[in-house]
Amino acid sequence: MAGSGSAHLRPRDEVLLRVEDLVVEFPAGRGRTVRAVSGVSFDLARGETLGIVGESGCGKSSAARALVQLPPPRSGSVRLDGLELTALRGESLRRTRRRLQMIFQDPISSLNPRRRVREIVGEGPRVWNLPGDRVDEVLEAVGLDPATAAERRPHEFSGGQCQRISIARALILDPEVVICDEPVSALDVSVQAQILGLLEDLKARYRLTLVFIAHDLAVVKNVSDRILVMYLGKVCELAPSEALISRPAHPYTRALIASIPGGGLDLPPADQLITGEPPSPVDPPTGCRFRTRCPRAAARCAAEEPLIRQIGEDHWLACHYPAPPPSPTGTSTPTFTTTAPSITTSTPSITTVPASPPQPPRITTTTAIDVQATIDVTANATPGNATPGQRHSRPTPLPATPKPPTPHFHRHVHEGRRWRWR
Amino acid sequence: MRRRLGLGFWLAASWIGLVLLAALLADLLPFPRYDETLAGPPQSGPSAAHPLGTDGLGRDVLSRVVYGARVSLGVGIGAVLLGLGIGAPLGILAGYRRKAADAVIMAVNDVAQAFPALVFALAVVAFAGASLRNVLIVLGVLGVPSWVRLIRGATLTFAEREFVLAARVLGTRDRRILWREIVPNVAVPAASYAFIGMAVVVVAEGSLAFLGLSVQAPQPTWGGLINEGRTLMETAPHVVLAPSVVMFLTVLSFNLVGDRLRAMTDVRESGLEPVRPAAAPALPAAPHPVHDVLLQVEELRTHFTTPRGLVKAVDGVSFTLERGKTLAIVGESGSGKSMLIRSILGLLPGTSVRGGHVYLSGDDLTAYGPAEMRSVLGLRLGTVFQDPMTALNPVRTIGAQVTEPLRVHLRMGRREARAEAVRLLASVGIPDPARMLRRYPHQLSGGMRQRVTIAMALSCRPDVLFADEPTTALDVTIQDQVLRLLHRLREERDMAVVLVSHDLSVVARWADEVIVMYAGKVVERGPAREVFARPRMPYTEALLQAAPRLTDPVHHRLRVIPGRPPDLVDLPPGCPFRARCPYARDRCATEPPPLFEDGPQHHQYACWFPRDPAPAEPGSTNDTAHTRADTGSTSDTTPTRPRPESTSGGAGPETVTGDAASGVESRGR
Amino acid sequence: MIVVHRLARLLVVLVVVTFLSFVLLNLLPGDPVTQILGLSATEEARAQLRRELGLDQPLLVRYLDWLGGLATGDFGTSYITRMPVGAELAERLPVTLELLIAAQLIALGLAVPVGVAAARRAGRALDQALTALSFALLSTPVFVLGVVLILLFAVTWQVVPATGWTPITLDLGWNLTSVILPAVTLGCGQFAVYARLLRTDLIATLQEDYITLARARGLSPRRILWRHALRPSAITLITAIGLNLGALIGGTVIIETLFGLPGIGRLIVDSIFSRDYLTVQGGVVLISVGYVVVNFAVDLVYAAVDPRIRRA
Repeated sequence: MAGSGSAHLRPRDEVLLRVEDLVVEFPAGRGRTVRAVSGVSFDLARGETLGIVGESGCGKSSAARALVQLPPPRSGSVRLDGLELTALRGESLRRTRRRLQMIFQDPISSLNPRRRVREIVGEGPRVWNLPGDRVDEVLEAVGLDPATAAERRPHEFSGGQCQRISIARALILDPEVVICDEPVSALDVSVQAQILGLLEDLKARYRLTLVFIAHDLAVVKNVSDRILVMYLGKVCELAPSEALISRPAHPYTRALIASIPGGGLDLPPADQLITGEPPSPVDPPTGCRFRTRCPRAAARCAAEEPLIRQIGEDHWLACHYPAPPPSPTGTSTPTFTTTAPSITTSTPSITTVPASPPQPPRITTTTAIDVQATIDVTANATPGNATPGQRHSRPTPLPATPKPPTPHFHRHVHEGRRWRWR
Repeated sequence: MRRRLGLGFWLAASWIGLVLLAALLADLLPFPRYDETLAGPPQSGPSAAHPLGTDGLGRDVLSRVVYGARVSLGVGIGAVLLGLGIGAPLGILAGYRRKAADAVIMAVNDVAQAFPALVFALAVVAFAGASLRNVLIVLGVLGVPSWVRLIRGATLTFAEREFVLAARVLGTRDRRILWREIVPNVAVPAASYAFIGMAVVVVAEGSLAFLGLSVQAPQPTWGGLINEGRTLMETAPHVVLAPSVVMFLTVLSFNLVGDRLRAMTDVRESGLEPVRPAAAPALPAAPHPVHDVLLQVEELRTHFTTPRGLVKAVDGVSFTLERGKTLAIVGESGSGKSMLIRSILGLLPGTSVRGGHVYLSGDDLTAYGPAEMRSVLGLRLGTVFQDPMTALNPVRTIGAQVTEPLRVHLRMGRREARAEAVRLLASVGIPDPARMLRRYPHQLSGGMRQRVTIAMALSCRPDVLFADEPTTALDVTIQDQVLRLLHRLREERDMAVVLVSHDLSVVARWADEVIVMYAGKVVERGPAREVFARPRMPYTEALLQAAPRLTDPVHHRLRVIPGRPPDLVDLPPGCPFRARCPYARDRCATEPPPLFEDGPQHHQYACWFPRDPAPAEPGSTNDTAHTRADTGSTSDTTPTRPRPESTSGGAGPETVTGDAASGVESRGR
Repeated sequence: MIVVHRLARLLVVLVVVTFLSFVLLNLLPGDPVTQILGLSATEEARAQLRRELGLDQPLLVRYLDWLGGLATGDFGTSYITRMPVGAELAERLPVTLELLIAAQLIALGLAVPVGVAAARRAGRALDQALTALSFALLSTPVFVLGVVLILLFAVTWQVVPATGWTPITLDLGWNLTSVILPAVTLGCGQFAVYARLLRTDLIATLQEDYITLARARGLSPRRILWRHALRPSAITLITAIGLNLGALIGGTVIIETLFGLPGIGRLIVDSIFSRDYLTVQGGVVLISVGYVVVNFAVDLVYAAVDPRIRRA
């Protein structure tokens, strides 16, 4: 798995952003090279949210930065609405920046400590010679009260509020694509939910197309229409979120899901545990890059890099020996006794047919997941108000024309300065 | 946070202002000119007419010192401005552009730093002529390498911050990024260096003058005055002392001002600023029984005195823990969960006050002295921390660190300790443990380091293992490996584990019992399954619904808890969660809820209006949700009215009925 | 590998330093010929002397000549004293070296225990006293401190001689009494720098997780301080020892003048006044070489102290 190819890309006229064979490399000193991203392709339809998930060092952040050409990728193509960004330099590249914005992981470090919120958010319009009167509007849109927030500096805000300011800074330019690089991983659970909800609201309100990068599969699933799983600079699997979680085919995807307690999948123990740690991106394994940790790896995986192929409706996979779909009820897993090649099996030639050929895609029409959760959580958010099937939904449904969220700002400001131990 | 500059800063600034003013207005001041001989009797001590006395030629020393300030301060300020003018642009260029510009500038700088600056200044001034202009230029130019280095360093720290990247993504041009994002941030450290630089230049000019290589007589300079005064040291010490003291005070003032400015920007330095412990309020504990359990924590409190007020980081936490069990402590950042661990272990900073009791097998650890405590720590209580990157000493080998507790506590010999260390490392799943002993922490991955810290914590076979967010810094697949390892070791060694985590799913999978903390208090406690299935405290409930889960549908709306955790300084009375709670009523604002206990499973919660327990139906969540929604009214599903554990609260908690929904609509977004 | 690379860089720096110092000194106004013959000498006599001294050659030729000599240890012959510069420097070097080493030993010997003690009780009386003292010492120019110390120890109490030098080969006791006051004067400022650096770094180290964990393992405070905390905190201090050498050498020029010690610094000052270019140049080169070599050694010590640097 963890392979290359671009078979999964959709026709050009359907997509807003098309990334093909992206390669990002950095010098690692002493003549060595970090192969951060090696031939990754994906695309984004207008209004879609693509989640990119993977562990540290899988190249997801490097890929995000290559999209905005900071720094430009070693090779490959990034097309925004047909415009090839990698061919642009200097002023012509700068002119495209308005359309592609980014939100960063560290809410503190991504705001200049010496500037006021109004200047930070108003920087975009000033650079682009646009009227700056939208600052108040976007601040309200991200749930901050312009009257109290605009004249303050970043250190007077909490992490979640700083992230709101970052979002406002990106939004004010009316971008078409917003790349969110781990936007909630530095936040507490309760604040994380606020920001995720905010992103969904804003996406609808401003008709955004999002690339949402995170290491937490549950977070990615919550906001993404499709999910791309990356490992060591390569694509493993790409599928609509529901399909990816309920029918993961790539051993790595399965391991990711299995390692989340209460993930909802009842996988056989052999598939749950992946051993060892990711190899260094300076010296990645030959063939499939995941093979060193893969429970299903065989000789072919070392010799031949798997190409991305289709295994279901919009479900794409780069693996020679994918796992069969897990039993969704979690009761019994008879299919798993079939012989999956293991490392000890001597495979005579690399032309070996995959021992477990991909099963025909099982397309379920219902979106509800009927897998058993390990944690049972009672849904009792709104007694007397909750209707079946609407668990956990917000008490007040979002109106068709979204009105600005209630600013809860007054109270937080005087709670003010972050509290430190030392 | 703006920091106060302090009295020393203002005194120093005033002195600089005074000297500067005197130097500027020297011609107007009512004393003899510096070169007027026999203005008074030679070598006379301080008097009303000559406040600092006279020198060997009867010249007024005060006048000479004040005129000398013109040269000293003039050179000081001028040379710093010159050095800054040349060095700052080069430093910013090197730090922001990197690559070739940086390489060239830094190579030149390397060479320049190898020149003996003062010797060079001497030669240049001697050969080119000792004039104010030459001295100023030489000292200014000689300062350039330092300026380049300092400004480059400051630029580098900001040029790599994400806000610069963000500005580029906005399409900001380089020039604007430099002026708007970088320069304002570099300005404060530069100002601080400027003052320290002035101190250096004033001393350097003094040194030149002392060797007779600055501005020529009769014009006075401080260094020259000290040199002249040297000969009268035995008969008229005031002649040498007066300029010396003035020079000392001026240099000291420059240094102080520079240091305060730096401290204002340097977060690390200011974070270490010691806080004087205030008079410690006594933290008494109510009488209580000591149970026959492995670990009993009774009404533990940890309060900190901070510059802003008293922080109750841990506020009355009690629990018991038995062998072979895992207790999880859950909470968001600032909830006091990590502080609770440190408080139990007695690893608190000096500014804290601890109250309550910790019993290990019935022995009160809070009564132990430092030496007694050391005989328990490591030996019976093991500890693992969150970040494996910082948990190991970077300059010592793994072997030295793993064998240390064995040798110190178990008094093993070197050979024996090494053999045991190899066994330990193997038991936590480290391949080739013998080779591992010779390696350094930076050569290992995060997962491996965490295994090593676990091996160290377990080396003396502790009874209780405290694991503070042991997997938070690790990748998910590695997290899983480490948690499984901890669980396996607990079984093998029959330990008790205290697992601190913010991750509810981790807790739900591995814990037997769970404590939910909020603002330093326990807000809910009970068997893990029970607490997660039927949370009673609205905070626990909200936290569970705010965390995304894989089993939720895509684009599922997470429960939003408005606001954020309260500031622990001056916590308002009543329930700490009140401000964020959709069910809060008047009573919550005035009376802090005690821990109520409910049901046979000792499920405890601190809430006046708890969520009603759902019917005990350990089926799927969907079923539960349906049942709950169908029943509509909730009072029927509560078979027994919860009784308060303590009677201090008066009436027991009331179960919430439908009317609380109005609160939901107005508060939940 | 790294050592070879660093040695090559060291050589380049040395060549550049010597070239620049040679050129700069020669470009400055002032002429050794005038210095030797006086203003009244005839043009012929000047040209004659110029030829004799080789000053009629182009600057670059003279530099290469001189550099060639340096490679064989020949610093040239002084225009003024007609003495070999190398011999002169060799005679003066031990004095300066002894002064520098004594000053460093005093500074480090005091700074380590004081810095550790202050860090251990950060914010307490000892720590605050150290902060105040180090500020005072940092703000006292060496010539002021020297004057005050002479006034106290030599003039008032007459414990040690104010000036003069007894070589170590002549009498160890007298040598020590003649070096103690200059070394203390020179070392005081360094002590303040080192103690403050060590204190700050040690306080930062003591807040590290691995120190808290060492406490959690029940190790004694003394063991934690000396075995666990000191070494990771020493890196800035070691860097400072190398970098401060420049300041220290500047200080020796003053100290040797003030205390009348026959060292390199005094030689350079005297040569500057007598326009003895070759001697000044020799002194500058010697000091630069010393600086570069010491910093090279510091880099090696660095790697020994911190394993993280070894492979980088």
